[in-house]
Amino acid sequence: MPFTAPPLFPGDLFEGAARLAASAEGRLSAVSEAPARAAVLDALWEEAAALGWPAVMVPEAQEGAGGTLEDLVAILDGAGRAALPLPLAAACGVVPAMLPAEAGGVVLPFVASGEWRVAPAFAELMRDPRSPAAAAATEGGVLRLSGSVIGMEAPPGATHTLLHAPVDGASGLILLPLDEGGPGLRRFERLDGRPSLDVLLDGVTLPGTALLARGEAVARAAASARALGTLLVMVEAVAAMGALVGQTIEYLSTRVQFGETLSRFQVLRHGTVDLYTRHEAARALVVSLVTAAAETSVAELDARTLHLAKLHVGRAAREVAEGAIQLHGGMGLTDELPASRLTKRLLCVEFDYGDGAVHAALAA
Amino acid sequence: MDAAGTDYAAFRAEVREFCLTRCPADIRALVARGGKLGRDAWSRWQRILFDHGWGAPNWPREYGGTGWDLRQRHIFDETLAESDCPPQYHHGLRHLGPVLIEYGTEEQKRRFLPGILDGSVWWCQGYSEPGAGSDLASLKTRAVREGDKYVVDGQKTWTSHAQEADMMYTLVRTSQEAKKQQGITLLLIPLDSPGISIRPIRTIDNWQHVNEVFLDGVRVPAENRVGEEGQGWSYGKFLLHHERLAGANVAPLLRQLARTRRLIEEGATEGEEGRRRALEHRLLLAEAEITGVRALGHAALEATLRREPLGNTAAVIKLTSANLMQRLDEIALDATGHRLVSRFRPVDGNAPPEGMEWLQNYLYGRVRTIYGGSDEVQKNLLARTLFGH
Repeated sequence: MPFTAPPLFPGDLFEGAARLAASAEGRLSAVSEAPARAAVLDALWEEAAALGWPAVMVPEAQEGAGGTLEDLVAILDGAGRAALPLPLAAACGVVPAMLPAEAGGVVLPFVASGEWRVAPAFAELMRDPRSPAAAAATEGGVLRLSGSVIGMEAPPGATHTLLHAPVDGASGLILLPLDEGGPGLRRFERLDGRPSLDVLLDGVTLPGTALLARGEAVARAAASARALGTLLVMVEAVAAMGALVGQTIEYLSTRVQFGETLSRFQVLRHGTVDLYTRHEAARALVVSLVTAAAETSVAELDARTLHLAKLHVGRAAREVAEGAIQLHGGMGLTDELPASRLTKRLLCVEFDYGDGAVHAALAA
Repeated sequence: MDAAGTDYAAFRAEVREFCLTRCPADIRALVARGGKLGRDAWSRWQRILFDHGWGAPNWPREYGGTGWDLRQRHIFDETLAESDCPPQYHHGLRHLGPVLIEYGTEEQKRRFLPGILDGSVWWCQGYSEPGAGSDLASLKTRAVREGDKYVVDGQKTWTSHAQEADMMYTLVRTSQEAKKQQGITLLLIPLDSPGISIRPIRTIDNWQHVNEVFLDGVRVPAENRVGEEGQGWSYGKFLLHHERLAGANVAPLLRQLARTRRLIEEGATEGEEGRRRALEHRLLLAEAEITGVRALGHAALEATLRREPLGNTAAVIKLTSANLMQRLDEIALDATGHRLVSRFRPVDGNAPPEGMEWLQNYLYGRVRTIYGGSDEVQKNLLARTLFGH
């Protein structure tokens, strides 16, 4: 390929993730019906778990690998280049970050072993604006839940949700099992093919022990987990943008119309350069944020800088997606090219962990 | 009222009354929410129009046309859009019909026109091929004459509605020797002919509307050839000329503007004022630009009525309105995406979230700057007229 963005952090983690994502490409394009796709995704998650990814960010004290932010970024970079439709950032990064230190032991060993597949949920983000958000109240030793969580990305066959929601008006962290007799679930595929769930909470009660923690420490961890989610979405975006630029160049270099390869038409060359410049700026921005977060912590990143970055990368991702579709012509609209998986992934970036309106309000 | 005595205001009121009372409620609801129209809705509506004598406003009167002047036809198209009725734009009616009327034999007109008029026979267009998109003249599907039949082998792609059509009007190559544009012939091929297989193309919007059509030794009676062998390209060009003013109807753009404004007003909830204000501002800018393309559309219509040449106007309108429609789609995406992208395809047979058509239309709408002459091709053509080479 004439253009390949270098890995953000080269090494075995990057290579392994890129390999799994590439193999997923063929396995997923061979099936179209939802149940068959679900089975492939389930198998992919098991492979990801076998590679130890859910354990990467879990501290050693909780039977994890105690890895670094760079380790997780390397995985997301590799997987993102083929838009592997698994919620890796959410399940492997955000879940550990949501848990205040004292609450980690209840959940993380099971996450690290792969026994539990936990989806993170933020009541304040994952809500239908026209119906009540998720909330809970304590009542005589039990927890009464209400409202709903919508569009929560979830590992295939998710066993639990780790829900950040107001409990009696204060920040609470609730461990909600998703088994039979639990909350009502509606299953979806996101636009990028990742599994997602609506979780209907009205009438659900849980034992008091399901409330893992409450108060300031929970709010701080949730804010930091959202910041991490925002950063990781941008990492995935940069990986997808770079791969899409490469695939666009390859397509234009192969396709012949009017007796010439399309790569000889100046307007198409310039269009490709526009995508490339969007990628370069977004990549530099994300590298600077990851480096800063690795030196201190995600929680210490300047909040406004992060909001502006998400505004930037959300727009850039969409522009690269739209531009790549245009440059691929009709083929860009089919679901039958690897590039389509990347464009659909990139169109989700704007909406993950708060859309432009949310981040603009926070940055203003 | 004009010199010929046509009362256009009364005509507009008559069409509007007809649309509001005669177009079935389910069809109007489908159009209003931006849903995907299929053969069922289109052909029911066509039948209703036909029964009223309005089956083919763009055809000459002796073949079932309405005898309306250009301004009336424009008012008709505009009013349909304003009333959430499906546009009267089917392949048979707008594309093949005029070609048959111009170049078909009497026998072909008798066989094919009535089914187009009453909506009972459904047509699709077999033009594009894997190697021939913008460069249509490169098409390779071959037809070889054997006695009173043509034997057709090849592959068509981007064939809209092939999955629900009865017939495909198809450009095929009948001579390898001639210059690219020559040696192309127009054949009318029944889709139930042995040797045809149709494969749906999955598209990013999750709607099925385009297909690949494979032709393997398909035997087509020679009487299904339109016009002369080798002259198919000029019939295609005839169509381009015929349809140039269709893009001057900006009513769909205005309709989409109104729908998007309502979406933003209705979707506004507490704590979301910032989002709403930003979207309303973008919508206002789009509306301001629409006033320009609307003026262009009116000017084009008046020029045509005065029998003046259209020049570049049709291409300018197509470019501008395609991009404006995409901007409206994008505003709607930003109004709804946070609750839709994460729930795109229901898995357990549960219903899709309300309003998913906004996201599907955004995705599908990317095609507006690609099909019917991509933006890049349109700009090349315009540049050629400006620079003179």
